[in-house]
Amino acid sequence: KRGGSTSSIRTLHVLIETLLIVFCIALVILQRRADWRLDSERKNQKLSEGEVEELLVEWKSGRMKLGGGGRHTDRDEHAADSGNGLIVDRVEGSKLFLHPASTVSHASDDPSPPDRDNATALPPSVINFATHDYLSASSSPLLQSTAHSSLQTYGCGSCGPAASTGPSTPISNWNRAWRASCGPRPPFSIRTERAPPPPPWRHSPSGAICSWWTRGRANVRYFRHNDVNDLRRVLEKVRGQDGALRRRPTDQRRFLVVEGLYKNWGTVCPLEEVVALKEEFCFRLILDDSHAIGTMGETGRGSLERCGLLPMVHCEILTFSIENALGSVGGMTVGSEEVVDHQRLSGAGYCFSASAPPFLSKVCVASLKRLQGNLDEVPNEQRQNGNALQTDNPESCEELSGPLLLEKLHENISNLYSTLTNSSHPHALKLRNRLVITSHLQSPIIYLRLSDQQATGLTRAKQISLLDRIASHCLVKGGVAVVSTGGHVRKYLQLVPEPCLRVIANVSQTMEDVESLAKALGEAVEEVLCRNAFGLEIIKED
Amino acid sequence: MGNAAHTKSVEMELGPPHNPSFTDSDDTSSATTATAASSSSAPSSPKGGICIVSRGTVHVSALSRCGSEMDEGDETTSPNANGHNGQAFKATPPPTQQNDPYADVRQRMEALASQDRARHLHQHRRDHATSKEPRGTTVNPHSDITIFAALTTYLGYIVLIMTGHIRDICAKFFRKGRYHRHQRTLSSKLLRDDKDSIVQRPSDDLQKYAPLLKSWENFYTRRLYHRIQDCFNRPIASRPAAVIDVLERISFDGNKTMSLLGNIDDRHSTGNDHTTAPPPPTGKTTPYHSYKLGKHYGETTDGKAIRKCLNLGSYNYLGFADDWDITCRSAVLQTLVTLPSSMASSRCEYGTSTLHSQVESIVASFVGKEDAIVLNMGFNTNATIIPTLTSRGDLIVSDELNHTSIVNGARASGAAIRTFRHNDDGDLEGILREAIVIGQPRTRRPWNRILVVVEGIYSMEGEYCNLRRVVDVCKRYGAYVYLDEAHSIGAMGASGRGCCEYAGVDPRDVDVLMGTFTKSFGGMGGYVAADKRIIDMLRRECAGSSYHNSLSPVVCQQIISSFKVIMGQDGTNIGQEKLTALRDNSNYFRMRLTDMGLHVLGNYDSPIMPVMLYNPTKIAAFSRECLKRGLAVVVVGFPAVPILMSRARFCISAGHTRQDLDRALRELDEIADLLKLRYARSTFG
Repeated sequence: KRGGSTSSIRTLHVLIETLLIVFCIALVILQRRADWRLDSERKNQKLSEGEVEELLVEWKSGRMKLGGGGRHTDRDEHAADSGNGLIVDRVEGSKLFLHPASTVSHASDDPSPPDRDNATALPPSVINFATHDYLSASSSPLLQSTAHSSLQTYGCGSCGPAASTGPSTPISNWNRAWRASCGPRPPFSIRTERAPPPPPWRHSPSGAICSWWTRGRANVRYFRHNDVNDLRRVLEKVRGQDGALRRRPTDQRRFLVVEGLYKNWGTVCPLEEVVALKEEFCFRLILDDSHAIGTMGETGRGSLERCGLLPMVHCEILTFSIENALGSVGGMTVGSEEVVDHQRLSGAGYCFSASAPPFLSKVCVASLKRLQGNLDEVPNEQRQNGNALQTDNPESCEELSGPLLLEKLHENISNLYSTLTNSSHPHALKLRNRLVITSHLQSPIIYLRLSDQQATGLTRAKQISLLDRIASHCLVKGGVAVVSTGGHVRKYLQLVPEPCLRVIANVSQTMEDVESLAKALGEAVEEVLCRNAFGLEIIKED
Repeated sequence: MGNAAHTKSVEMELGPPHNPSFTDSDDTSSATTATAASSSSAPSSPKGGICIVSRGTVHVSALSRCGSEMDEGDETTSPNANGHNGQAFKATPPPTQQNDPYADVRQRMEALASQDRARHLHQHRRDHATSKEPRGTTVNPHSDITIFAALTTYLGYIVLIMTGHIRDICAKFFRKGRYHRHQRTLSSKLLRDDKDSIVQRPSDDLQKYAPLLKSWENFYTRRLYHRIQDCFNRPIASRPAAVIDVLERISFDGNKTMSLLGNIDDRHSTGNDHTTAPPPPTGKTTPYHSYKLGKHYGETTDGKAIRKCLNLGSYNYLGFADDWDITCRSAVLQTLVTLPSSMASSRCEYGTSTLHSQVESIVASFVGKEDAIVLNMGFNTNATIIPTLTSRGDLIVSDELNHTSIVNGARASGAAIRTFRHNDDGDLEGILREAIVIGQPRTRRPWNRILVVVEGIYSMEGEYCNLRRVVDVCKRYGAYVYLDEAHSIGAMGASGRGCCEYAGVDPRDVDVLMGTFTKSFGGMGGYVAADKRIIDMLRRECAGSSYHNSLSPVVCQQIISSFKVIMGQDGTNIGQEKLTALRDNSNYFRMRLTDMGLHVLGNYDSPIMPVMLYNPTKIAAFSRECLKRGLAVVVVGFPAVPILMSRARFCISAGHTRQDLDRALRELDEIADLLKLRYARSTFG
């Protein structure tokens, strides 16, 4: 019995061991097979040449067209801006002379396509309420003669970046002139066409035209447009985060970015409060004063002067364009030595781009002198030269300068506002309850938007087309150039302004010009807003 | 015949890179090609050979004019005359010209130019897609730096940086120094002029504010840049013509700030000049009068001291600053009668004048596109057009040496960005294949569009783009080509039509052509030329067009006038002479510089020639030596080029004469000895 049990145990052993061996072999074989399967899967995953070619061809046929697919504006593709297609032949005082070939394009959803005769029969000259030429630099004989004489000396182009070939004398003169105009404190200045300094920034306002935040690779927070309380809220939030992260405020460079006078809104920045806040929270201020320079402040030094503040002390980096009131081309940065030296080395627009033509800098210097009232400094021959250029228009020879120029501008602005809001004016009356002024009272840029009761129920595109029609009616029937803004490029804006009509005051506009603006606007509004699709009047006046 | 030549030469170009038997076996056909080439681009070469000519530029007049030269050209030259694959690619100026200033060296110049051209077209050829060779093995022969130069350069920077730090530490320790930031001294120094109202600037308080500049930027400016500040930002008191007046400057604070020397007599009598400079340190007599004895001394009309220098730095390629009075003056000045200097309004509003539309149509017809748009600034053209053309979901493939404006534009667009090795079409092809097959990162969606951005002439290397290859690759894979011709428009090609003409590429194959007016045309601003559909979209949606004010009408007229001269529409052949002179001057200067043993970058036929300096100290020394000898040159240091690759950059103009260039070369020869710059000849320079 014992032997039997041992033999049976032995057979069991043999059986189990055989099974084990079989299992091991099977495992190995199966494993190898699995490996092989994996391999083949891997091989299958790698694309073959043919498949790659197929993909390449497929992609090529399915790619998007260049110049398509990017619809960033609100305007219809076919309805261009109200001014598009307009060609200016001559600029003289407050008049723009249009080229006979210019056309006004109408909104595409215009119910009755405007008869072509109307579109072509543009008045030969229109009154200019459209360009940012606040001080009428375009028709100043002084500036014209300066341009004339410096062109003869310096030729046209500068043929090189200022950093390598060097700025020509006019540009350095411009530095000095600016220094002089700012009084004894010498700010340093250079030309950088809206080129930001590379240090990253922290805060920016809504509404500023800024596509370049992305390039600074900074964290950007926005506050509500011109809302100081919201700004305080944002700044306190940052301070709270500092506490949570145990970060000292000195670890991070922080900037507050505002515009002095907002181009797209016509509003004025409350600089006193902003400066107080920036000092409280230790931020540096970057101020874009492109539209306030030459229009605001007692001597035209912009919004800092208006608020009694100083560049470099209250505003670390001041940038502005010299293309608007000063009638030149280019832009400036004013700051301390540190800021400006850094821009000279690292400002992309200064280092990597050719400097502006020398004659434009001369024009800018002359423009500053005009603003200061130092016309005597300009050589006499130049002035005579300028007069000779203007033989066909002798009355414009005597020109305003200095405080008188600014006074005239401010007078024109207030006159424009009072006329447009005057409820006893026969034409301005028609604007009542239909258009609303949204801009600041001192701003030379006046924005009129559709009133709430007009705009209710209208889509943005519809509003734009209404305003486009008002603007083109003004131009064609009334001979007044105003701009309908609505075609903002959304890609660059944080907050897109509502569609508006823009009216710009300048020095050479007279009372009659303002009268004809009111008349043209009134008629256009009546024509466009008070008639329905069938051309019948649906709202009776009074 | 022109067409036949075109297809033939293209075939040859696409053929195997080194196949000397190719032309030998096909002798007759290459002879025909040679005649066709020489006849379709006005000048013909004693070397004969094959030339790439774009179909669009075959002029009837040129055909008839050169018909007589055909026989002579065929007999005197064999296709293999220049000994390099039997291919001479360049259309060259007529040797029969009576007053050819380069008659004695013409043959050698042309041979070198055609050799260089052939080499340039072949060197970057790598077919990565099919060969086993890993991508990225191409070595750019121009960027090689000898170990000795590299070591000394690094050593130079180490010494400079250490000295700077030691000085900083000392300044901190002794609380005294040029750059020591002491709040009160800083403010009072800056506001010295009115001592009554010293205003503290709150942001100077570094207890509360982070320093405005990061330490390295700040350190570089203070301790490296300020030492050689006098070599940059030199003020000019004249047109950027062949000879310029450089205003003399002086520094009273060890180069920290520079001020104009001003009137020498005033300085001599009074000792200082309150308007332009702080008073010089008393006790030292500055020998101002010796300035007047200098060889290149001059005075402006208001008595400021200037140095008359030969201008080797401006982008005045076609010399419009030299003969501005003849070519452009009257028309440009006439503009001022009716139009202002600035329109003060954007193009979409009331900023378009008659001249703007004229410029656009001239540009479009000149470069061979349907339509064009003109913007106010060349830099902004790239920086705003590229973001308008591309957006998220697109891919931008950009040459690694592209200009900052392109880099800025690409970054602002939101598109994905890849870079390919400079001028390496094989690398480009590999990147395109990979990108298309893999698709967008994370989502794996196919790309919407792929835009390949290249430049015509790379401004810091003087090399031109291998456009034919790039266009071929892009066409094969369906990528769009964006060509920045900032430096090449007006300066390259037989009729100045830029890189397309030079490389024999049909402008229709390049989707977007961009260029600037600052360089060859002596104006400012930039253009983009493309199909009408694209341009219409750009007019509506580009920030540069819808927000930025329009170009000055005066500049518009300058552009129109210069275009007319280049195209010969002014009834003279000044334009053609300018183009010929520019090419000859550049090739001559490059040849002689290379002969000297300097390390010259770039290609023949390009008017830009950088010469490598490497060592930081040589930047300043070179610039100062040149200025001393009456040469105005541009030296380029760290922020614009890699830190090892400091260089001097010469820009040749049509306004230079051979005498000018010979004088410059004599001076440069001396300077090269003095500064040990002959890096191409010996390791130690």
